[in-house]
Amino acid sequence: MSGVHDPEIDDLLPQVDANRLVASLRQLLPPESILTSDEQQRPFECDGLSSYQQLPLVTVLPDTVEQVCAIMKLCFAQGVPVVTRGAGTGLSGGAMPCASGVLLVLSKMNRILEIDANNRRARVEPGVRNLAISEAAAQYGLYYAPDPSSQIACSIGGNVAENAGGVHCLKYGLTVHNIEHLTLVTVAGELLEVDGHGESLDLLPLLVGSEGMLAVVIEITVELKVSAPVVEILLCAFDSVQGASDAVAAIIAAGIIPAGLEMMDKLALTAAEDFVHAGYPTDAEAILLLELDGCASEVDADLQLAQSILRDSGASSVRRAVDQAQRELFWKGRKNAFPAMGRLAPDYYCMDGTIPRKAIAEVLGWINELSRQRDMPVANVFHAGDGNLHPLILYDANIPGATAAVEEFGALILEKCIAVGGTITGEHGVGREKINQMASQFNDAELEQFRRVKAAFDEVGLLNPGKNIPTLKRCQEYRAIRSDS
Amino acid sequence: MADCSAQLQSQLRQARESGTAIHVQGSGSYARFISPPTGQELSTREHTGIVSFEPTEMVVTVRAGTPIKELEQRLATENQQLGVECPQLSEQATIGGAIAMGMSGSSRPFTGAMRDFVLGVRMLNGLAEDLSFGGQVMKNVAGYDLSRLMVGSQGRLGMLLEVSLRVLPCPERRLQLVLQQPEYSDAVDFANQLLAQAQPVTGASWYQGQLHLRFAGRSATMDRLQKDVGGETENADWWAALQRWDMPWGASAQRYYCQDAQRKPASSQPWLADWNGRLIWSAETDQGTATDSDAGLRAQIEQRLCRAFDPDGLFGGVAA
Repeated sequence: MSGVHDPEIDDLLPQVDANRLVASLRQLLPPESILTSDEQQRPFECDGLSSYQQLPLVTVLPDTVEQVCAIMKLCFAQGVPVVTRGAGTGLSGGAMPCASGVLLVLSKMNRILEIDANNRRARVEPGVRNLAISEAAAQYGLYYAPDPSSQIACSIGGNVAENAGGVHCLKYGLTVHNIEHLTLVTVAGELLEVDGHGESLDLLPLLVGSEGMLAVVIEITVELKVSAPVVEILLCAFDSVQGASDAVAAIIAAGIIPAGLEMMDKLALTAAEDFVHAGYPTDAEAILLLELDGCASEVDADLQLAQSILRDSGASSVRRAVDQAQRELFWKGRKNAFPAMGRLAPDYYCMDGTIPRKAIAEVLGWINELSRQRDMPVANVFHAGDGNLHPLILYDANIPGATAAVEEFGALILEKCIAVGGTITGEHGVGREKINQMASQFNDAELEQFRRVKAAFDEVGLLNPGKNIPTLKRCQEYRAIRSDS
Repeated sequence: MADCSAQLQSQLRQARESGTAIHVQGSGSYARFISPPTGQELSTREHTGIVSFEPTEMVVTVRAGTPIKELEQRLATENQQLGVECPQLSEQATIGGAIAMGMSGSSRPFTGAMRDFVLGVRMLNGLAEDLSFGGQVMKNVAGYDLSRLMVGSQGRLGMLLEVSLRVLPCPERRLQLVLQQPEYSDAVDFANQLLAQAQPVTGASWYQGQLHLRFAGRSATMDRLQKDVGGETENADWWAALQRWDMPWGASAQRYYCQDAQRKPASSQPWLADWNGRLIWSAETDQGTATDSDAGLRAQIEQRLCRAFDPDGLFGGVAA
């Protein structure tokens, strides 16, 4: 069953008077900040999940907070849906435009407003790129820790909307753990500040990861971390996925908290090796990349312990990066694993389920079996330390029916994640992509609670309609189909 | 060690049917610090016990009425600990109360806030529905993060039944040092320099010319810090007192957050800085937090959120 908008089971979109809307927008914004033609808007019709596409009625690119407030007030008054977009690198269709709505693109708001080195924080606009924060903070020996693979391109506003993760979340947390203060614009165009230090409800963790459904983030104060003086990386080869999984469990159980602990299976590591020549052992069934950071005495002790655990876990080789160049090379393979898939198939579909670490080998084995049965290759490259899987199903979207078959396979994987005590998404968000599986993870009362929370911020439902929380009707239909199959 | 979920749900249903306002009651350890609760009591005190604890997953799921002490003892048997220091205002203080009040201890700026360690909750909302949000895994962004919203919500959104927490390995060793630092700003700078070197600081507080520092990590690191940082080794009493909100001046204290760690509080009354200057404890009782320009809007949103969980407005107040 597809996630595409279906008027039979999804909420109806409001009727919008496009001419009146555009005329009103022209009162608020300079001409170059308003895009109305199909050609101009084509680059914005999807985010990183290109299988979900939709042109908006109009695209606006405000430059100031005042303009954002004015746009929101206008849309609120005219009953126009608003979808907010940052850099458009999201992987769940969360920034897919709404056919009868405004696409609010915040990429022009890309100023770093302040770096407060003494208090280790930075105040930035939402369009600032994730990596640009770390680059600006580097002169103070500081950096912003959450590092999605798209960090060169993705925006901090999008990171906040999705509660983005990355390879260093294991030690330094997700976006929500690294945000001190947010300024938001409500659906009615009012400014709202949250910092989690009031005596009232702590709205900050609710707003982080709310996928543009509750308010528009227009200023973010992030916490900066101190760049570790010592970093070590081990590249470990295993003869089996089971062996690598056992090593992950053993390292965590020994009380080591690695800065990163990533796993790649044979298909993924071979493709990455062919692509960037990182020096990965292509005869291995799986590799682990283990990063340790901190002050010298802490890292030394953890390194010795980790090496002995890895040997005991049956690693066929353990290589320590000798210098910064080799550390970067080891990471380069991992960070380019997704684009490397292009060497194996024209398209890939990336899943994001998260499971208890103890279930990693079982679930990967199960996926492998289904992959064989369905003749759809799956490469695995993921955050093993926190159990966040990223199975990449390889396919060719030009073959009729292939996309539907891949989505069906993906749905089975997500349901397996729920069955072993996990979740359908660890860091990519629900968006439009996983709207159906929300009906598997939550019961009707829980989903209704989500809808009431949404209504507390946005009663009419103008913000990012159709995303994140499925309608009751869609849930019923999806559950009926699942129970039949 | 009993699961009272069903009884609590039925009590709540009855209260709802009769339109009786209720308040969630834990051990009552915060009673001195909050206004007296109103309405009928819904108590977590019998709803105790550890639902699951998987040391290799570093996750514990525990019933709300479980005393923090009991939970900590269980974690310690596997050489693990809570990631955050819950205020321990009495021996019976419960984990549910700590979550409801949401007040993080001295390690907060160094290792994280209470909400940072919450992975999932099971709760009863005002409709007496038994709901679960979040889960037992490290990363979970399905739906709105209603489990972390429960932290500090003071029982206004519903009754917490169970909470799943990320736990941490116990450090090999801890070290407490006290240094003479007559100037407050020097003390803040001193601790900041240690942080800038990525030293494993887990506490930095200042009171009347003395900087109290705390570290946790490998034995070799503790030996080196003891030599390099200087000062005198002290036992953990200073930090234990802070965890009991037991101020050196004895009397009750107001706790407020400070945006700029370097700014010295202007107060004629005794005060103490924790979180390396970000948290101030003051003997002055009328300090108050700064009023927000959007207080009206936020109050409106909060009210709507409370209604979203509790449409009939049953949950009047808390007594954690």
